[in-house]
Amino acid sequence: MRRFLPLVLALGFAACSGDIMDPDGENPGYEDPTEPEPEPLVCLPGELRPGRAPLRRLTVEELDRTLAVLVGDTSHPAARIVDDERGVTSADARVMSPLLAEQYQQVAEEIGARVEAEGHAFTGCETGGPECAAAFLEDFAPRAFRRPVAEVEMQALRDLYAAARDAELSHHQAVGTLVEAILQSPHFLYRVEVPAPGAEDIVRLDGYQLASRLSYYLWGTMPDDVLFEAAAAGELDTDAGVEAHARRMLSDERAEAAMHGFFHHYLELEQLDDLEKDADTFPTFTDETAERFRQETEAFVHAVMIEGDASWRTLLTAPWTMVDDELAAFYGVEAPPGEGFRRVELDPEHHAGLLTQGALMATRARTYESSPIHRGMFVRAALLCGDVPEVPDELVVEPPDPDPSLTTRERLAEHRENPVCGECHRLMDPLGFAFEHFDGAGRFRAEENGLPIDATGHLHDTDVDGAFDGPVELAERMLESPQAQACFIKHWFQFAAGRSRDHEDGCTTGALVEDFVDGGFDVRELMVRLTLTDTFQYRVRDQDSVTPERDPAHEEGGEE
Amino acid sequence: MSKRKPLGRRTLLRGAGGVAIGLPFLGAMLRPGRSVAQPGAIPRRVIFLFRGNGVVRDRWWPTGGERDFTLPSSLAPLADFRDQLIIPDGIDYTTVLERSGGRNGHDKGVGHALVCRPLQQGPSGYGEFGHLWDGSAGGISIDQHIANHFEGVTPYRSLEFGVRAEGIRQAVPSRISYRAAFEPVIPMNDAGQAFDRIFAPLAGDAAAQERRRRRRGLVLDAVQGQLGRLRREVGRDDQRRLDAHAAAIGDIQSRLGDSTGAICDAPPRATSGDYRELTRLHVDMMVKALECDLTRVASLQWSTGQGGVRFNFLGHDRSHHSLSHDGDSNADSQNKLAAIDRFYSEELAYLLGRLSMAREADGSSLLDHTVVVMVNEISKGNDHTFRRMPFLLAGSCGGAFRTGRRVQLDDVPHGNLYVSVMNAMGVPGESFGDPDFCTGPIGELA
Repeated sequence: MRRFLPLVLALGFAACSGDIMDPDGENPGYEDPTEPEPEPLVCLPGELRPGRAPLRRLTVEELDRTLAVLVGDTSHPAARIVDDERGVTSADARVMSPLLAEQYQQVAEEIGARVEAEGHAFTGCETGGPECAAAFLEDFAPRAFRRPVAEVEMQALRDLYAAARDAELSHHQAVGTLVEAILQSPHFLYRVEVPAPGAEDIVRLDGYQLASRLSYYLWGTMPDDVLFEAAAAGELDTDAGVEAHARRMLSDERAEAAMHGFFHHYLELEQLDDLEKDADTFPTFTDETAERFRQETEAFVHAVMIEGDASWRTLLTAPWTMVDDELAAFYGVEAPPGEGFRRVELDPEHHAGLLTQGALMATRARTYESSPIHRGMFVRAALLCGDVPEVPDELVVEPPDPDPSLTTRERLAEHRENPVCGECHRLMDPLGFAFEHFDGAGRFRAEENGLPIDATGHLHDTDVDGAFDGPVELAERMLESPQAQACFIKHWFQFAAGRSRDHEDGCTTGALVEDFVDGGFDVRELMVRLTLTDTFQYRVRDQDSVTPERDPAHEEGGEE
Repeated sequence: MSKRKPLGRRTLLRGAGGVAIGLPFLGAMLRPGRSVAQPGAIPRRVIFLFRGNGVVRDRWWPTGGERDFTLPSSLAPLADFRDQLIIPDGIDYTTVLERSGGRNGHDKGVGHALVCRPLQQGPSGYGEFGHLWDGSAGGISIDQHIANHFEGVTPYRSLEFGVRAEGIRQAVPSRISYRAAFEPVIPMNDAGQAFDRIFAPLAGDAAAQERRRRRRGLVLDAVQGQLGRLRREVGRDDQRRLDAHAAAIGDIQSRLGDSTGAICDAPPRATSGDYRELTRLHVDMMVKALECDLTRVASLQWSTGQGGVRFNFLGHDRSHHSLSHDGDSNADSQNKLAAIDRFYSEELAYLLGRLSMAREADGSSLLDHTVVVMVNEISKGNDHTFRRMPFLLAGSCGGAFRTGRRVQLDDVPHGNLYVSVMNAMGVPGESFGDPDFCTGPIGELA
């Protein structure tokens, strides 16, 4: 691994709530701003730094897809599980609760009942009895646990079958009981990675553990037979083997799970779920429009990531998007003839890939108008991993009423003229002004209330400060910004690792940034490259030694 | 595995005739003056209600004296229960003001509402993509603190209902109830699922129920065994995850011996997506669960902090949170916000009505033995202030509180209120939450 010293920039803006912004893409919420700056990392070649590897429980989506593979249930059996879990992939943020345990039980019992009803058709036996149960377990348990199952574990399961029969359950009921127990087992619900006994502090994951990491990362489901065979044959014991399988999996249509999973989180597409617009202002906007925005973005991600050049530049600057007839009519663009979502060319002066699509523009807006504040916040927080201060307590905010004689930008003048507002809003509004050619429902507009649009803005407190005009120039600035590059890598790292990025991951992410920039922003290469990191392939035997301490007392509170 | 005390009230009921006895029948048996083996005192219950975005003050706060106060328009729907109310005027979220630990006003309000401790930073779901929210409330919430006291006494230590209280990636403003920092208790947002959980855990005839119980017992024992063995092979952080899992399984196991729903004449199973209908379905189930002594502690959370519900049925075209940021001079918005305040008073009145209709064994009402505590995330929507929080109490909790009063207080920390409430519930203690900002129970309430 290359030597990497993180860039350290002095970017405090203490006047604004004393918040920190970490140019290295550190999660601002995770570091105590009152702590001294962490020591710069010294990254030595050959030194393994996998960092933390928290125990990851399958997400709702992963559970659904896993059950589809394992028991052929494609009815979304996990759909009943509480909404809190949806969209959360970081193991740090996912907490088991009694309600959740009951819902896992319900999912398992529904499948158990199905197994019981299907009987021999499910187990493949001709007659019931302990031999049938044992044969069934030999096949089912290793697939469910995604690894070979030790004899002592098998014996415990066979004992469970016997206990069920002793409790006067029929053979099929007892097999259903086995399935229920396996589907509620921690070895099924979690991605368990217990290292084999040994002396070394840092251990390479075994083939089965890596097979699961690859398949949940790239496909969002359990390994297929090819991966299981590769694990058994030792193919995943080398970088070259892991890379070959990562490339094979990325070229499979199942990889769309990872692509959509990432961009769904990145853009917070769930904000489309209950998007509402004022009917008087936007009479053509309907609930279906919001759903079409999602489809547009997914089709765009597919077109770039699977069929296109997979370039970050294309994602942020493409002067085209994907529309169907209805969305084309809503946007007021002419779609080429064809079926479903298809590519339409747009004005390259105003359109900038994902950044100007409805999924982002209409959600970062008010119900009746655009919102440069929220759009600026997205750029600051999601693209730059920067900090956005909150409205101070006990500050009475009187938003200006809509005034048709002014533009949205003009009505936000208070934020510039009043120094109390300005010290924080300068971090958001001037970024959001870039998108003023897009109204509150995400449609392009040449003018606002008959007044000309001013889409110029200014970047403050970044590593690419200065004036710009419109979203395309803003996007170009993001592509040049080491801060934005590190931020994009940070998002991918967290997506792949299932945890927040810690300071000590800087060596890994720093090398990823370098490769990403040198390689011309190829996101598919980045996805492969991530599977070759220490974090992906290794784990620290004693996890406690890498776990950042949570401050239990937390004596230092907020800054106000 | 069960921690149930051997002589719990429900055990006695089942023991009496070997079969489950429906409560109405039991109620008929227990006329005042007659006693069964161990009548004991009628249990006390507590309900916490949460709603957000503050109130329109001049239409919410009563005016007048301690007893001769006037209910203004936002509280007018509670007129029938005037004698059951306590409106304490002058309680602050002192811990937010003094030691918030957070950054976002809504996070602070919700995270402190039932916890009274500084927020803790840490990786929340939002942290994944650099979205800037606080990590967790800073410790156990008052409802769970009280619930701990009744662990093993009732089948459910507590029941949490939510009306569109969907967590957004488990961020702080979505959660009021915590077993500990970073361990939020997730409410049931779907009435059908809540019914299935509380009242129909065991469908079918007695033999089928018995088979199901045995099967679940075997499965959960096996799962606990695996969790226990795995625990020995992982680090501390992962042990904490598995411990939470084992505790959750233990929770189910502790109820396996119950024919929970069977003993209780359950309300009909129904679901609704309508804000008011869903509220009432949840309230009906909550009251029935308290009446049947399935739990002593319940909560209902309407929406979340910074709640974006749009009250279409009140004719509103903008969300509650959006309206709440408008200035005081915007009469239209103030009217709409007051209408929302009034809606919540109507729903509180509905709950109090159900509690007052439910009968205890001695003929008194369930409301007589309950205290309802209504909390808000902030005092006023457009300035995010945490002084003079609009708390509302209803019910004397078995005579612990003197009701029918407007109680004038002065800068009292809200931890003090919770000490009063937990003491009323029989939970001892002089302090709750951050001990630096809690000075003991509020004497004026008793």
